[in-house]
Amino acid sequence: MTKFIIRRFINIVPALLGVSIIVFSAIHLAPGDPISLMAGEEASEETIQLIISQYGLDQPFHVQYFQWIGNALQGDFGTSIRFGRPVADLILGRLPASIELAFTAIVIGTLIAVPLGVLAAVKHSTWLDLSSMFVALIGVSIPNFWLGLMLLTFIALPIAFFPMFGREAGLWEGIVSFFSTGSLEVFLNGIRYLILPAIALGTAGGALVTRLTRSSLLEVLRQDYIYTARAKGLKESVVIYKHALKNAMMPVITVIGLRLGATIGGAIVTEVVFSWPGVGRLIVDGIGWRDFPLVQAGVLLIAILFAFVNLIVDLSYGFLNPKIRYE
Amino acid sequence: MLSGARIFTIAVFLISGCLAFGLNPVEASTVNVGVEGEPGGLDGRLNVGSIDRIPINVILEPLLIYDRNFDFQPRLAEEYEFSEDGLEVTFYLREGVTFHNGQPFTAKDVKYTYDWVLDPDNGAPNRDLFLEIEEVEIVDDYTVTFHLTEPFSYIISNIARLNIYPHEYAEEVGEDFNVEPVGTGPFSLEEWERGERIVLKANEDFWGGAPKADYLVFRFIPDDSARLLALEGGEIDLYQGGIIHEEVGRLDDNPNFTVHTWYGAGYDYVGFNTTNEYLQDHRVRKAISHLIDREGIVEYVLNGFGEPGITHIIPVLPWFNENLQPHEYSREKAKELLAEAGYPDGGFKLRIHSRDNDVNQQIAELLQYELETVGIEAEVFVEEWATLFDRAFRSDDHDLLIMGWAGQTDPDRASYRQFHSEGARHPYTYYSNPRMDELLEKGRIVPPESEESRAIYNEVQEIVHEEVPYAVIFYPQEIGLSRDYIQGWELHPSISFSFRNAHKIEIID
Repeated sequence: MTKFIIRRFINIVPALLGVSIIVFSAIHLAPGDPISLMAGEEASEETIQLIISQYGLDQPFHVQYFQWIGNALQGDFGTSIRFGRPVADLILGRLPASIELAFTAIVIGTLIAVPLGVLAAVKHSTWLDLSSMFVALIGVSIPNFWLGLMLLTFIALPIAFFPMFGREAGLWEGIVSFFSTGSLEVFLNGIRYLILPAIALGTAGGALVTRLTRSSLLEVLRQDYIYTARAKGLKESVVIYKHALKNAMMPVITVIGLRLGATIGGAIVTEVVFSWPGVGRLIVDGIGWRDFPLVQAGVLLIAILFAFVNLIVDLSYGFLNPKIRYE
Repeated sequence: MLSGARIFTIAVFLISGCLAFGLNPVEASTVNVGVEGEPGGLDGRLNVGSIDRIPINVILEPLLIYDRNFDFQPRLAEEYEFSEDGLEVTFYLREGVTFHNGQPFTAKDVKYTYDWVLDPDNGAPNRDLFLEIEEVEIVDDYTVTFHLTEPFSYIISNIARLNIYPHEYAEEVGEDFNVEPVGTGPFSLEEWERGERIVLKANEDFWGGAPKADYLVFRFIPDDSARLLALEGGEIDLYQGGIIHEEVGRLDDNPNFTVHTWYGAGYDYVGFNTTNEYLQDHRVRKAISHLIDREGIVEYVLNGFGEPGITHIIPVLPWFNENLQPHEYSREKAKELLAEAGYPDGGFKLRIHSRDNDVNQQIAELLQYELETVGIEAEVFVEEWATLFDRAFRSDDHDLLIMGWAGQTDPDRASYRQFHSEGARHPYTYYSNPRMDELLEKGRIVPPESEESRAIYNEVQEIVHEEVPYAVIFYPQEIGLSRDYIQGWELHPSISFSFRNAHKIEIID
């Protein structure tokens, strides 16, 4: 198992190097440069070129790349051109908000989706199945930004409890504050801001998980060992929850894991609609401003997170299915 | 196992706890302003975008400002005067003003600010605005004289765009001025929560009187619909720009909101690449201008929030040429002009590059349709700003550009960069006309209020109207929205100037 983890870590390295080359090339080869955008329409071309050389952006492409990757390997991701602050500080400052949102969205989605999927599979071809699948279909089809705006218009606007935008202290600060002061105030306030964006973000994923849980469970329920279990006279609930569900969850866990990785950096639309200060919005801002260091480091960070989450998902298979051994 | 009753009790407890939070009342003296984005930094010498300048212009002040009627108003300077030869301009500074850190404001700060911006090593993007300044001389603590290399009548308009920095403090903090700015303005920086808000605190010692609100908070809400909902939900109190035109009527009917409108300081236009095989003939350009249904665009695309475009100098400025009319929307006229130019049935292809905002995109599509009616095949490309700017400015790989200008507060600013063959934004059109160059150079020297100045810019506008390097489409109106309890806020044609007088904004019961 340790060997497996080490090997996986080694495999991640070339993948990340590949990502670094792709993101570096993509943002540098795109038309536009950060200095012209920052300088605006008042500046002459001479002034722009002068500032470009002050930032070292006039150096050959490969020189800039090796300089950047060299510094990055030593933990220095450079300074944002747009914000004039170290990129690592900017991204790490936004990361808790992103993780919190992604995690809550997935938890809310999963808590509703898995039971719904199980219900649909167990009550296969009944009205319960049909109506859960109908709900799931709507969930998958609703565009994220539209659902966000609807939540704002029909829930946040009439109910003062839900804020319209932004984020106050995070859940983590809330937990810390609970243990230090014994008051849930900060935590509950964090939840208040988190709940609508998490619903908007979690709906599509949840709907997908519902459909997947249903189809996966249906498939497992048709297998021989389930007939055997039933033939032994086991209670139906034991057959489903103890024997079938565990195996049926394998593909579901893979999808949830992949979504978690993608959601941390990819919740951009939700972040924009709810003005949530997450990493995705920061990176998109960075792309608009052609803020090379910010975009490079941001995308690289998301790739690292993604690889890490994948590893955890792979490891979790072993707990679900003892047949899988890590060698 | 928890009993149902116990779960219910806990739930009620939790929900009531939450509700207690939900009813958190807005502090009476905090004004929340919704803005589209987050500034890059608060050092205005380096951050010159309008998003950056909104908070910066509350914290810091220039020597003078222009008000919403484009008249200059004293700020850190009480008066100024030009020498006879126009080579010197002297400012008499306001006495008894202190920066937020308690240091007094003097002539040293003025000299420091201009020297810093003019030093090429500092990489100030706005340096080009001040290249005519040869030296800033301190006459005494409260008098400074700017020596110019050549007379430049509109230097005042540029000086109104540079805030004054505290020399000792700015030297001391260096780059950190971006996050710890200190100025003389009505509010000082209290806190900047990345990605969320900038909190400004009232400067009780402000020379213009203590601000009426205790705090002014800029909240970053990128989505236009979400910003409007935040205003309706009372979480922000006012905002300007990025307003969905269709929604304004609905709010206008609601007594809880005030809709502010004021003329803007810019225009949207079609820029022609005059080196293009077909567009080098001004009759073709003029023909295309006659295909723009300006009235229709104002009515249906802008929902009435604008005026049809005539020339590149906005009609509220005294230099506007009253004798000119918009190019009439007429396919017949366009066909005649095309026939004169030798293209009676069109028969050529053009590309339209547009900015990626809704308004410009719709205009591009309308124009594409109109061009086809006279036999010109057109293809539309919508590009984000970074890409379009690079295309327009660094390449000649464009035919028709649909873009906009803002902040066109004087005729030199509106004309020189655009139409002088050495102007910084000359590559948009490559338009070149010796008579135009001569007029624009002369316009910079003659006193702005003189008859001669008007005559010069009248002719400039006649040339633009006839030769059409730009076809001006419309002058947009500025729109701001506020809750009814907000008073003392005035919409300015430049959004970054709208909070210069933030000390007058108040919340009434």
